[in-house]
Amino acid sequence: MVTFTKDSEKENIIAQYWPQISRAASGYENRPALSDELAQEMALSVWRSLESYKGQCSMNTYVYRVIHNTAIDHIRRNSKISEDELDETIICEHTSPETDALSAQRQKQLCSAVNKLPLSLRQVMLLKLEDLNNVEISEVLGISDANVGIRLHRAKEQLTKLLAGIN
Amino acid sequence: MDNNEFEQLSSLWQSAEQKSLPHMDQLIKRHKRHSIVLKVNIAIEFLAVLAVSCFFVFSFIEKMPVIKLAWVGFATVWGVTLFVLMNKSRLSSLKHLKSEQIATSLDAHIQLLENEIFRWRMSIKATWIFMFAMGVFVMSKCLFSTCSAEDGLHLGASFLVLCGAQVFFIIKNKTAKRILHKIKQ
Repeated sequence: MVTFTKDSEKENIIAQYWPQISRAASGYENRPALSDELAQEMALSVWRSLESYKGQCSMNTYVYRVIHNTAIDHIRRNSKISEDELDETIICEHTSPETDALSAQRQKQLCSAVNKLPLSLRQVMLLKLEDLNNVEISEVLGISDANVGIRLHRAKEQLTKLLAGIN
Repeated sequence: MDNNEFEQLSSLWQSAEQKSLPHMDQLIKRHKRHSIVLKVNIAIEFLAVLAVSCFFVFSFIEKMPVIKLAWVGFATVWGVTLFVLMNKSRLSSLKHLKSEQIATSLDAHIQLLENEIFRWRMSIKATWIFMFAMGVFVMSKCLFSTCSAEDGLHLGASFLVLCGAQVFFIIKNKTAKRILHKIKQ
């Protein structure tokens, strides 16, 4: 049985999953300040949940489950401003300086399109973009494989339209 | 969108720059501070209810005028009822937060929002009742006892504060309903 009780072990897990946490926060929250806050909330939730991890599922599934539930909790508490009212220029500015201009532009467009997906579709899309398979997604979100397939199909359709609209 | 296109999107998504790693010790301290603030708030509410209850008992012993006694009695019953119902709902929310955050996905959050909406609705109703009772109390006082301009000023100020609180509760209730709708999509 795997248990995480030492702070150093937990810190390693946080560091290992920080890129995923960081991207998930951007996918759920398009206001930059709140996106940073959400990423920190997610890290704290993962930290606190690690003591309850007893190998009941894979570490990957467990961490993603915590991350996505924290995001829903964040939406519950912070959706004071309608996302439609937001100025597009302030969102998704987290592109890497190393990437070229075209890639940076595409990253920004993708992030913007993902943020516009309805919540139920955004959840599956964010997990699929992290290369999780349908079974893992169903375990993370607590829904059936068939439901994941349907949502994913709809999410891809909508994402294609949104990306075409942006272009 | 075919698999190849999606893989490209996935790579693009994963190549985004990450935020700077947080300092966990600072985050944990902040979390503990929030938890203390929540407990202090509950303690303050409890002390306020206790103080009003004591005041009511003393008023009863000291044989206050009937109108004042009725007013203090109403405030006590109002405060205790609200405190009990609010904390019952808060406990239910805490239970969900502690046990189901990991195990379940959206259902726990929907329940939390429904609890929150219940609390805002109760605050709205309780404020209307309080405003009505206060109006009745002041009118009775004016009819059966004396009424000064100062009383009118106090009443006006109290009504303004209560109206402000009511607007706040209504906005919070609407926001919670909107978020519930969004999560239920």
